[in-house]
Amino acid sequence: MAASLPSQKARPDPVQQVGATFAWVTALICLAPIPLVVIVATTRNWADGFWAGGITMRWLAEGWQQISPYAWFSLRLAVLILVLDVLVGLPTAWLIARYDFPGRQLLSALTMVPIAIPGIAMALALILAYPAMRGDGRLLVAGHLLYTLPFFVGALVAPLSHPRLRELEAVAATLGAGTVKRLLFVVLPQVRGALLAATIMVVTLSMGEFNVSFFLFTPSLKPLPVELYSAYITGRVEQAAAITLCFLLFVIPATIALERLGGGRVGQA
Amino acid sequence: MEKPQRPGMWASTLSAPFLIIVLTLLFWPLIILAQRSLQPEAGKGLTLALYGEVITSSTYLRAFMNTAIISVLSTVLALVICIPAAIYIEGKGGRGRKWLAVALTIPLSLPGIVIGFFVILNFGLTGVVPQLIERVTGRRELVLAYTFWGMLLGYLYFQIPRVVLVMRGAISAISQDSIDAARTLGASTLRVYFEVILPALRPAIISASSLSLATGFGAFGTAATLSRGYRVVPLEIAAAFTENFKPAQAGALSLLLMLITTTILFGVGNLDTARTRRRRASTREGA
Amino acid sequence: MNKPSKATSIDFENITFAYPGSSVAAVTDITLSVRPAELVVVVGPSGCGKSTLLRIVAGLVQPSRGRLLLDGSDTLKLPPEKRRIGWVPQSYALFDHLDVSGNVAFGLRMQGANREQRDRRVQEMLDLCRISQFAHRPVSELSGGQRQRVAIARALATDPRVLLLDEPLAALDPQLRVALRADLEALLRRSGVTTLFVTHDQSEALAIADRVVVLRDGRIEQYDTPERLWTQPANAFVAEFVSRAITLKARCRPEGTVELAPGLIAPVNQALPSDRDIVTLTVRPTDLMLDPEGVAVEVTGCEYAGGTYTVFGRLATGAVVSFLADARLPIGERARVGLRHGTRLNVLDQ
Repeated sequence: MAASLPSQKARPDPVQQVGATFAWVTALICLAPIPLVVIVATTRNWADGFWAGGITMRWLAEGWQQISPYAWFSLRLAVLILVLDVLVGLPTAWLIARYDFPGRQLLSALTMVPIAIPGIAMALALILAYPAMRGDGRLLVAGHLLYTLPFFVGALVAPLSHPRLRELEAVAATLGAGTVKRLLFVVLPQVRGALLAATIMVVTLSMGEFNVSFFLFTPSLKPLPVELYSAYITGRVEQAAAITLCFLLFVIPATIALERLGGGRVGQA
Repeated sequence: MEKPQRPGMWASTLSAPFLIIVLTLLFWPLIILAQRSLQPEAGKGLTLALYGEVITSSTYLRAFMNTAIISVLSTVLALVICIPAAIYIEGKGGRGRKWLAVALTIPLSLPGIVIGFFVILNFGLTGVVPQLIERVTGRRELVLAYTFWGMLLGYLYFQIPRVVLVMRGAISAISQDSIDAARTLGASTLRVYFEVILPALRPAIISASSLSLATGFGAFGTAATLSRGYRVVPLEIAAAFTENFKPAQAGALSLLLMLITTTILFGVGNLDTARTRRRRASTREGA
Repeated sequence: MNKPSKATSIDFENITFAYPGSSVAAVTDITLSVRPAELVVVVGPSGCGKSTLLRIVAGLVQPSRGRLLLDGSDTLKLPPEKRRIGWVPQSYALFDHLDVSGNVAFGLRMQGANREQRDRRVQEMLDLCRISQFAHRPVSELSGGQRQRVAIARALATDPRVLLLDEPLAALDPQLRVALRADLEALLRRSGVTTLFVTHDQSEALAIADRVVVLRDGRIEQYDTPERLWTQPANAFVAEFVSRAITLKARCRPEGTVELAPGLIAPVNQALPSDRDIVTLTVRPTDLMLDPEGVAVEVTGCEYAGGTYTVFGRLATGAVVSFLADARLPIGERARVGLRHGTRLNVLDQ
């Protein structure tokens, strides 16, 4: 056989090149604000420039003091929402994933409905319908629940209905496992990853929720983003940056973990 | 155990918690909202008066127009940027691309207000860019934060990760075989993109745009942080409710906004499937 | 390892099943008996219902009609977890959240065996299937053949009454298949469990089965020993599927022989029906051979199979037959074939 032809250099793909440019530039733009926040948060006097007046931890210390009660409240609220999501969303996801019945499509669409409703409209509707429940925070919980359920259910339906999982359950049945044992020893271990991702998603969503919380909070029941907002509107930019940094420290590691686990859609405008 | 079966009696009760939540916390409040907007004064009958006011008010009409402009513009820009970017990320490559994917995902979990703050940091009165320009030219320019362009930047920052996510999923599903087949049939790189890849991405593009548009319409946090005069509908709703104490008017605005977002989300998607179905039917007849 | 004291028999009686929403039944009117410790292979083209049959025995699918008896007692009402059968699906379905020992021990855990019993039995199974060295390996690190053995070990660990194997060799590379086939058969014989084995490969069926069920479109075409399937196929489908025979018509002759083509006379394996002059026969590639004194054929095809050539030739009557040869015959050439000495052709008509 004759010697093989020298390999031809692949001609550069123009779309890949454009894509590369866009991707890198956009990534830079997405990431750039974060170090910026760090710098501003540690600058004594930002109005005069980078680190003008010297580096200081003052804003961070004050900022953390200011928001820590709200940060803990947001965290507790997020955990409560997670529990509610599991109680309400898991059975629903199971039903949609495992059974076929008239109205299944409808139920599935229903779980996605809250996404179509702007947060502010939902908040308004809740206030008008249950004015008495605004003060004790129940409406706040309701709003968070409504906006996290679609993501929770959505994240679980796919893994639960996966044919591979069904086959594993079938084999487990032939090996003598009843319904409960199949759930404990096969289903749960297999959907572990999806459950973890759904948990992180719900907690992140709840901690970053603003559109509904802004209308449903009370002074004693104020989630972190609402406090962030007042800082943006009234405070010094250094303070705002410090508070934002605290918020980011809560939220960004969770996002990265989520992407590694397979991604998810979160957040509102 | 095999194909999904009908749920037994106890299995049907699984839907109960969710249905209760949806009925009491979603449908009932929305009904009340609708009712209040149609019956602004207790005791009198149902009337579309408020809706008439909204539609004829130039302020509100402008708000709707503004909202549409910024949503559409940010969506289009996001698509133009994200489709090539996603194609690059999903292409064969090293770890650099994975980290790019992570980087583009960061904004996903940030609330609109934080994104607004980022814009302020960059383009506000003491923003990085104006400060740098001042160093060079002596004057602070490009204080965009509180203008339309600043808001657009904010919306864009918010749309990009969503669009990238949707596009990445669709691109990874394109079969390499169809691309290779096109190449062996003589298609140049550019032709491959326009004849094979983009058509295959069409459903994803449509769903990404509808999601992007709908959330743009409903965006509140970003607007609340950045708007100084460019009024969008969510801001008007907030004003009607918290400043003017006109819940009924806020309700009418909300319902109109909801109508728009639901139509975009559920209507646009179905439009495409309807068109595909019609096209398939006509090709069957021809053959 | 201790054989079960008494192996189980399986009886299908008029089993019929259709998927909901489908107008065509997956299996129709299946009636057959499997003897204790027998190795029965169910073979047929894709979609013929073989896997469905296994799922019915496993209890994963409820037939719409018929009875299923294990050792004489009706089992249709029992859920899979109570039937004590071992099922190995085509994908092996190993639990990837457990290692190899964990998988093999799973059924024993469900039965409530204590740790000591479990460990002992697991070791037994690992030794039997020759995978002891993988005991603590995660499942993802195993090759196809190794996974297959883990799946079988797992199924056998619970001392099942019946073993169901769904295309156990299909996922493996072709060159491994024949080698592992012998291993698998030896293992099954050693364990002494009644086995239902599904495959689409007829050579596999002939190689290891005690009896073979030929299934087509959900119905039994023939249920017989491999030898009888080969020499006495019940109809054209079985003949073609099992032995690559060709079906053709031949003229009856008064002496009880048939004439395939002018000059090509052949004895047959049964008395010819008296009411007709033309019968349908199956002719296998091994029935004919090159014969300088035989009848002329025109070569229409020649395939090399490693060692021999399968040649297709057209008789004067226009019918095409196939035969084996040592050398390549070009298409269009003429050759002469005759009946192999001692062969009797198979008549399909009753």
